[in-house]
Amino acid sequence: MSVSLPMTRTGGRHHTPERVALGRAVRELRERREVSQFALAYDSGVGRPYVNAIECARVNPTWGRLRDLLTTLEYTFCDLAEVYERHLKMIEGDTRTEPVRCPSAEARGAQEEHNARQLARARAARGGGRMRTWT
Amino acid sequence: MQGQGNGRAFARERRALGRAVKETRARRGISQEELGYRATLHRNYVGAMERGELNPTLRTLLLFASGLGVPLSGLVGVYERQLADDSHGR
Repeated sequence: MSVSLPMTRTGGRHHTPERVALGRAVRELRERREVSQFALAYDSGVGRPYVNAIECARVNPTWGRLRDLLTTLEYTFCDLAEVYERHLKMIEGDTRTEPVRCPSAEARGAQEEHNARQLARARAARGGGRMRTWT
Repeated sequence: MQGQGNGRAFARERRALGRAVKETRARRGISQEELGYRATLHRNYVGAMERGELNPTLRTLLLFASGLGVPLSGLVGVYERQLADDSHGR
């Protein structure tokens, strides 16, 4: 595992699709009830940064914690699972249909041609020969 | 492998979840050891889960679901049914 991956303290990975989907599901259910993160945390007996962390996909919550939150919001696990699956489909759909954004081969070729032409023009203006960039 | 953790207050729910896993596993017709192999979990862990001694994280539940070959909503549906049966039986 390279160091460049966003890693949690225990070596897991932040922002896996499942965690992101769960965070968005919790957020959607919370917003349906029009409750703030602070109120949800306080009523559930959970820390306020923890609710934010769940919604931001930075933690791996246990069944008991989710049970606490859902009891406060008065939703069942069926509702959570339904919303979770919908968000998961949206997330995975995104990664499958979104094209990779990089310049196409022709565009790059055109850029290279342009660069070569400019270099040739500058060289001709100088009267040929190599440009000394070192002493 | 028998951590109680935060789920101490929800013994009924934990047992219902364990029974849900057991029922889905029985429906598939595989053993606990086989489920552990498919889910990359230890068979002791699977056993403890089915007895309702565990408070699993989301990641572990997803491992169970993938090992059983059901989406998470399928497992949750069976869990809710077990919970309803449990409360009606009492």
